[in-house]
Amino acid sequence: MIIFSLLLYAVLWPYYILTGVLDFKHRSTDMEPALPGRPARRTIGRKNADVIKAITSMYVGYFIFALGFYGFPQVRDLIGETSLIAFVVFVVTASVYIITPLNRLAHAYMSLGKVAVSHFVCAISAYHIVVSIFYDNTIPMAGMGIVSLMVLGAMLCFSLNEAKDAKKNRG
Amino acid sequence: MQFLLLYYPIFLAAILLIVAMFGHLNFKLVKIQIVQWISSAIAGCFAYYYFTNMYFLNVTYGVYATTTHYLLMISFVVLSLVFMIVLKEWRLIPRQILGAGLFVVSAYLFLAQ
Repeated sequence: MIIFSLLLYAVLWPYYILTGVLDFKHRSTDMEPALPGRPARRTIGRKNADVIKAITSMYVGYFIFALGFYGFPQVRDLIGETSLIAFVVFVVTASVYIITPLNRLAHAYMSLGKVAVSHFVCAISAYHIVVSIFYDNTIPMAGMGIVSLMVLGAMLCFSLNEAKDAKKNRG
Repeated sequence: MQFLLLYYPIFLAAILLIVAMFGHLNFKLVKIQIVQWISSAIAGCFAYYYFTNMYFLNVTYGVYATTTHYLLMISFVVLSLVFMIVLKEWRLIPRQILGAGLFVVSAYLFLAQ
């Protein structure tokens, strides 16, 4: 279950490489290609570093988020309902405080859809890991296949390589 | 009927999420720290609303947290797709149509299983 969730997160990397968001082909000192409506401002190295930082920290943020929502009900007998809700609200607020600047960081290099896909994948992956640790919850093989297909479908929906597309339109 | 009762508050939460996200991505002139504080405050209200709702649905209707969580995330992706279509950032190429079909079918299968 945990390996499946980690694999889901790992799929984000080839997805970003194939859609041209992460670029390991060119030198890191070269300038990034311009996106439609956004001029090229930074180098490819800076772009890769920013995108990796965004998706890694987003994953950490979603772990905190999932712990807040699904981890704390385990201790509800110890702390009482009002304190539990206060705890959850505090933890979710903290995780959103971490995630907010990452949205902007990622949006400088990719479209809203790709940011949404990374949210979708990170949330589902972190959620399954937390649930399997706290509740011993597993999903069957068929369920895993369906979840993988859902992630693949979302990735294909937002699989446009914007830099290449902009070049084609210009040419 | 039970499904509608379940889905309505979650769909509302997903709308709030996507509008908040799209909003804060496009306020270029506001300092990021202020945006962070505002979005955290929105998330605090959202957490109270969603968490108590999740609890209520679990106790009253026996709906698992897995289902509510997936419904929220599926609505989030579908709404962002709608945003992309409205903003004309979506080209109708075969693999995108295939992806949309795959997503809808597998989401239905997941919720129906």
